[in-house]
Amino acid sequence: MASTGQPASSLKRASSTSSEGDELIITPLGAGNEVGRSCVHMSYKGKTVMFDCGIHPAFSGMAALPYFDEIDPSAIDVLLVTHFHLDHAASLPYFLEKTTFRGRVFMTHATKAIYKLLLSDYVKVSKVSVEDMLYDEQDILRSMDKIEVIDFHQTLEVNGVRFWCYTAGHVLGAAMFMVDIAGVRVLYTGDYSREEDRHLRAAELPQFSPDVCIIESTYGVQTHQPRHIREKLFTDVIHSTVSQGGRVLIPAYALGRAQELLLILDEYWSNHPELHNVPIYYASPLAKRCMAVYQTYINSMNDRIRNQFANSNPFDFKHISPLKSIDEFRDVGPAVVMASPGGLQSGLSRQLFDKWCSDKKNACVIPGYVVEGTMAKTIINEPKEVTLASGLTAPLNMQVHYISFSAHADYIQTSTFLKELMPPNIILVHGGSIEMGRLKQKLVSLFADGNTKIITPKNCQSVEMHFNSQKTAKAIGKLAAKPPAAGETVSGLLVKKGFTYQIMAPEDLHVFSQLSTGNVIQRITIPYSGAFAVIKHRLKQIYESVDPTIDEESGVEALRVHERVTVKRESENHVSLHWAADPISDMVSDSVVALVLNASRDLPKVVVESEETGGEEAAKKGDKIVHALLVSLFGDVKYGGEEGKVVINVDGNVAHLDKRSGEVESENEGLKERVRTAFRRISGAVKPIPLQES
Amino acid sequence: MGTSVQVTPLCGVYNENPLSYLVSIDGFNFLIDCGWNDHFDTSLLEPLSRVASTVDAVLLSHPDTLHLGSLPYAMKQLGLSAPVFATEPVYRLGLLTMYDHYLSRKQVSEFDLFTLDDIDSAFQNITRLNQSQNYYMSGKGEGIVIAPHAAGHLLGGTIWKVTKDGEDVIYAVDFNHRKERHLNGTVLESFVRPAVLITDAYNALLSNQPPRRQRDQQFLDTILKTLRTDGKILVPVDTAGRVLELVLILEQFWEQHHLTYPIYFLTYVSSSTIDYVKSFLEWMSDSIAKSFENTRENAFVLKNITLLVSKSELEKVPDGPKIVLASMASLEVGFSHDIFVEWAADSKNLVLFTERAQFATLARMLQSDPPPKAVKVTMSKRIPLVGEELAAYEEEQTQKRKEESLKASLIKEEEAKASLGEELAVGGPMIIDANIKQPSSKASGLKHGAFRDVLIDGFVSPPSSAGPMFPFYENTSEWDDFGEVINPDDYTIKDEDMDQSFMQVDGDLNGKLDEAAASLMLDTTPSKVVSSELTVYVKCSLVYMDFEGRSDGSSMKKILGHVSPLKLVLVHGSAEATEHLKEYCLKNVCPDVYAPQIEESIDVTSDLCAYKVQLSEKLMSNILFKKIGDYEIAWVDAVVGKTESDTLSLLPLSTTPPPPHKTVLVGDIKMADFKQFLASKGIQVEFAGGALRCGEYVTLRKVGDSSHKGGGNIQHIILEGPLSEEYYNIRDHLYSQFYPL
Repeated sequence: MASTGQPASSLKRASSTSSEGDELIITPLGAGNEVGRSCVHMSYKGKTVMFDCGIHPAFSGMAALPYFDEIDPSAIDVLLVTHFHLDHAASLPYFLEKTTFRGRVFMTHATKAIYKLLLSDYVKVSKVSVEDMLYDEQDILRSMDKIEVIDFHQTLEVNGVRFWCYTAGHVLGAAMFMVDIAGVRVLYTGDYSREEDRHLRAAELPQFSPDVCIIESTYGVQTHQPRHIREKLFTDVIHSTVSQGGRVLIPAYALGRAQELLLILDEYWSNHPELHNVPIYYASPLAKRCMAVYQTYINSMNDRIRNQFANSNPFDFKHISPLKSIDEFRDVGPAVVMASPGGLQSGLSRQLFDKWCSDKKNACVIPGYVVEGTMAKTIINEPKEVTLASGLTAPLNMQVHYISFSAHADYIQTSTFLKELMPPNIILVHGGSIEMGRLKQKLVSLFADGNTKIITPKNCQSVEMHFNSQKTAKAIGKLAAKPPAAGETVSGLLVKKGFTYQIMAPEDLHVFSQLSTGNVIQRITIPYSGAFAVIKHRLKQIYESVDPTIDEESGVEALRVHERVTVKRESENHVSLHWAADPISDMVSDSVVALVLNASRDLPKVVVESEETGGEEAAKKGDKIVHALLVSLFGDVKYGGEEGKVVINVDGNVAHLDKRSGEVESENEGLKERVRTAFRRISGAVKPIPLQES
Repeated sequence: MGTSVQVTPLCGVYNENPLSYLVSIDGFNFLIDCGWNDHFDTSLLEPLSRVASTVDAVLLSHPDTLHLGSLPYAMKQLGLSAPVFATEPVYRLGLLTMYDHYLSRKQVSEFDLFTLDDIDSAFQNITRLNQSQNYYMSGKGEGIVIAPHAAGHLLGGTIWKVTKDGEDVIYAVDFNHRKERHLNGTVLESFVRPAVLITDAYNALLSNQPPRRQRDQQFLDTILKTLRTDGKILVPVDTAGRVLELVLILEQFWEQHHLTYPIYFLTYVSSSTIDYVKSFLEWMSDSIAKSFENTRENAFVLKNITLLVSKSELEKVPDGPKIVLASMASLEVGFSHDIFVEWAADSKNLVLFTERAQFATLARMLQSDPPPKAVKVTMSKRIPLVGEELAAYEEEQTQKRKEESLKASLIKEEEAKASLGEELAVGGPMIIDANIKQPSSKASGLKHGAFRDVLIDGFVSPPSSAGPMFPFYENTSEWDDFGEVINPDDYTIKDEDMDQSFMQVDGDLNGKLDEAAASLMLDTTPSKVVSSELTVYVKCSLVYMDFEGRSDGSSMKKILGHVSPLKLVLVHGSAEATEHLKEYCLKNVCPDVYAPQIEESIDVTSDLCAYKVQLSEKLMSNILFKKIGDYEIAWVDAVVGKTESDTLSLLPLSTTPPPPHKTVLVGDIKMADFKQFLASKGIQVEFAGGALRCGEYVTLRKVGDSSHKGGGNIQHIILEGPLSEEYYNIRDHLYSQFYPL
């Protein structure tokens, strides 16, 4: 059912030829066996969805992008972005503005609001050359116009792709997307956390089990300490440091976890009046700008915050004040400062670190995942000395604490989540290959009994799955007056909208759809000054059914030809034709027109034969012609014993032909077929066109 | 067969009374809206009281009293106990609206229909949904999906879509298709051909709404005229509904024109209203969302409007021209009532109505034409008790307390009796509990003080009270080989102190109430209501401007024509409006239009026949679809077969030539469009006498109006002309507009 190992280059072909295919193809364009540049491409039944559009923070320029070359951006119907972090959203301006992508983009309200601030900041601070810049501020602004918003649980449909999102925890506005294409459901978790924290809800458990679950595996098989223990550790360290006159530095990324830590601190300070003279600062202009967003999208947060909101906005901090730059900061006594960047590479957090690292009263609390190669990673190992930004070395005397508040699911959360969902296919993304491998091992043993498939594709490695989708249609309206028994026939219009099918009678089309049926009635006048009887006679030679009628309106003589076209004598010099358009009627009418025109041209020569030829005589005459023609074809043709039967003898093979029914009996199959065809053609030429074959 | 659907109006048909309808879908009873009027007239709820206990779910559409006012009362008194569904803003703003009503009422009367606690507990039952969220009902309603969609009109206003087996029942009242400052227009038009549509006829007779720009300008002019002549303006508003639009309009004008006249927004809950509204940006118009994303400026951070929660605050501000937006819109009670009485006599002042008031209210009276010269009003005031009255009150209270304690002790006695009796009956081995840790409910029996009181009161001591043994309490602790079994949970110390603080927060009222309101509510000083009747001469000018935010009659008709439900139910609207709309819809929308009376149950089960079949792969591979707009369409001839699971399936016909069928031309041709099309092909076209003249001789006519969709007619196009090349040419062009099948 699922297979990996598809060569990467086949994807382009697959996405173009899979238009009618039932193959669900999922390809990570980034975050396959790595962390960063999340981007997963998926196509099924000619619909294409892409999840996330991030960059890899360790690279710059084009190298940071996901492998967009592998896909055709113009074929993508919907692009869904789970949250605002750079590794999930930062290549969006590039993808929207610099590729052929023409689909629609969705993210939650909060994500969109922060996305703009975050990326503008990212463009400003990234120190790359102009050529290496993927996009500029203007591209971000333009992309804002293209991004549409979706609220949690809101169900939308684009080109037959239905999707909605669930709360994912992780950060404000983070979502897990469920996509439903023709009944096959795919869940993409993005980054998620099943643990409720101070302001965010835990990731929801979707109501329906998806057919495929694309899930993050950042923490692999690790498990977190319970949250309240971490929080207590955090506040205890800070409390003891400041009460001993020390300063606390919290290097943190500006958005996401920082807000959670500020909530913890503000609340702790409220409960400990003795600390009120110790100031708390957060030194991040970006965080300050985003505070308005946090203060507004309260409804995306958990009930705790919403209930607190009933009294006052919890993001109106009482004990915490913003700090613009280090110049504003008067370093006179115990204080708590939260500053970005989180890795202590440069900027304010590094300046403060350099200043405080030699005093053993001070403390540095590292609250989250730290990237390899940064100062923060270095000091976790507590070296004796550190190199300052100025190049000098200084002794590291301050206490260093690592307390992780990272809001990614750990093994326990992931396994219980999957156990409850029981998706038949699990695709792991967003995790280092070692962690991911360990997680896969553990999950394989966890789901040892069932048919669960666990796949860890690398970047650009496609996973193909086949889903047997049973198409069902609903027969409605007049057509469905009574349910048919097996063996009966059903004829009607099959109407497909999105992935739903309906069968209905043509008369009901306008009732059940926005389509309507039309009816074109044509009336054409032809100059003709001859006798009407001539037309009638000639028509009778061609058509079996020519009924004389009287036109109701004018009372003139009229003919109904082939039960479709009415020929009417309009005036001395004109006849008119009148019929409802359809291909056969049009053909009949064309032949009538030709006949009338011919008749009027031939007028002088025409000799009207006696009308009273009599049916019998005419039939006899026809019979003779048929017989003559058969003789010319087969030679030995004799009248059989019965009325209308003919015996044909060709080279010893005998065929019996019934001229009235056209049935042929013969031992020789070849002859039988030939006689039958010949007779059909002869009757077609000699006899008028019968009515029932229309 | 289709899903069975019955609609029974409980209130609000053929008049403008509050809305309340019972919609039963395959036996699952939805109560859609449970409104009340500003008078809180219990007689309106009689029909509801008869069915309240059978309701399985309640859906609320708008956060005002007309749509949800009776919820607390119905929950408390009428036995309504079903789960309630509403959008987040409807929940929150509805709660504030009810608080405001209660507090306004309580201030001037002994209001006892429901209390703040009743409001809270009623609203706790509400499940909050997001826009277009599909909610799958469980249990009895298995298979039913409900989804709220934007209705416009009020923040969070909802069109309910209830789906079962692919058939949609849509409830859409008070919708607004126009985009406003704070709201997007309704999405009603995106629903096409639902099985049943329930809608209102409220605005059916109203047409010709002035364009928004013109109306706003008029509004501004009127206001400024009064302010510049030193007049004061009272705008009676609702608590948290249409007032939001007015707030934004005023805020914007003041900003644009740099005006300095003070504006006050006065309700008991004004500041919390605005606080909450600030957090509902997801529900507002695109422009508000966009401006927030770009500048992070919340449109509801008000710079020119002062929020007040008590009248004394208003009295403190200096006299002079000002605008006051005050609740209630009906002028019956609340701040608006008091202010009206004060200001009405001054001809400089203006009372500006922005919505049609409810029937039989003071505001409605003033909106009549011509307005009355004088109105009788009742001024009521709650004043603290003093002197004798206070003494009398206190006496009464003590009396009451005594009675209560008496009653309580009686009950306790009963309990004790019962428990004793029980124990006697059980009569197990006699073990005396050493650690005297009785369950508290039984412990009350030991309070001898109260107990004895009653006994002394001349009652014969009940036979069972004098048991043949000392009170005996069963030892509930369990023992095993190692002694008493202990529950470790009893000894763990809750280390999540964070949650405790949260509990504290939660403890002091769920919804935030403003100080004054809180003081009123928590005020236990004895007080009474004094009323006096006085006549107010209405000298001030009265102006009505339509800021109701509902679609007008002609737009409604257009929307209904577009939605064209298979069956239509009309509710809410004056008798004339209902009749008018019914007639119109019968002619132009669909043949099944109902306008039931109160408690008249109508059956709108669709007479649709339907069955499901599987489409076999073999059949599908032979079908070529033609794409028409969103649809793909094909003619299918198939034979019915059975699958293993005994469902019907369609297989290709075994005989090769399919049976003949009449050709179907699919497509909707508009004469005007076709004219354009022909013109673009270089053919001279013009309309002449209802027909389209194409070229020299050919004419094209359309018979049968296609607007009447429910009628089951097919449009006929007549093409006439002499035999000529042009004729065939035009015919080809005409054919190109259709898809023959």
